[in-house]
Amino acid sequence: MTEQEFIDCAKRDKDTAFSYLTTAYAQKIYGSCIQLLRNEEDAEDLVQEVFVSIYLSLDSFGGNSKLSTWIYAITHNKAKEFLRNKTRLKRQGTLTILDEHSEGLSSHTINFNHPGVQLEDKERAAVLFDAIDSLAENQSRAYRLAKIEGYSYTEISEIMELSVSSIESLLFRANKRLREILADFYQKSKS
Amino acid sequence: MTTKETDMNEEQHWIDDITSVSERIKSPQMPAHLLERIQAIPSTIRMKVDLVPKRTIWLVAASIAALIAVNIYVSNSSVTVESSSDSFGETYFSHLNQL
Repeated sequence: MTEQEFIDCAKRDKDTAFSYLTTAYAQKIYGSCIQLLRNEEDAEDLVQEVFVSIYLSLDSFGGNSKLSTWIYAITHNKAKEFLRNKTRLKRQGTLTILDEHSEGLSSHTINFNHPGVQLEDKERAAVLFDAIDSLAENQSRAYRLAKIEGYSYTEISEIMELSVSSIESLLFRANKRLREILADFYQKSKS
Repeated sequence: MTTKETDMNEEQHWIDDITSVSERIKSPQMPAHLLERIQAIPSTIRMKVDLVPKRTIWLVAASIAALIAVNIYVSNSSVTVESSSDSFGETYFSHLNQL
């Protein structure tokens, strides 16, 4: 289905358009939610929230941006809202899995339960995700999409509404900054 | 190799070790029950809308209207009291001035 066909379909029959979105995007959205929240149960709740939001705002999608950009923006905003609420509530049972190097890297503790991370990588992954969170928002988004979620540069440029060359330079800067953050953290943990 | 170089190598090795994790992170498969729940969203939303009877909606609207009317009435009455107390003050002070 092309974008225009989708818009026409959404105007004619909202349910059919929604059904198309669940088939085409549910897996991708679930993947993004897992990477953003790093917790299976939270990701399931978030996916539902995202799809409810998509269903309620289907009428407002006029094709001003790409469908993938629109969906990713909703997912990103809902994830931010979810994390804000979670931090505010300070739910009990929060588990901080950080190794001896990760002390002081971030005050943001997260219930790390990422189903895509192997058990032996869990502690390292927690450090990496904390470092990614410390990057500037655009860099963090681009890095996560490219390195964790496996999107191509073209797809990222569509999602972030930037040119491919901008994405390349953004990722170059993100890589450099990430290594600086990790180096700084390594030094702090050594001293 | 100096101690500083060894430390640098150790640091770079540790950073590489951490960043290489991203290559091994798999995208997990979405559970079937979640897909079912997502596909049921349109019917769930419709059901929720149908669950609120029209009578309740009108009752709530009437209550809000009554509340607004009471507020307007009370605020108008207080203005009248204030203006009457002002005129009392003026009369009192003009009486004092005459004395």
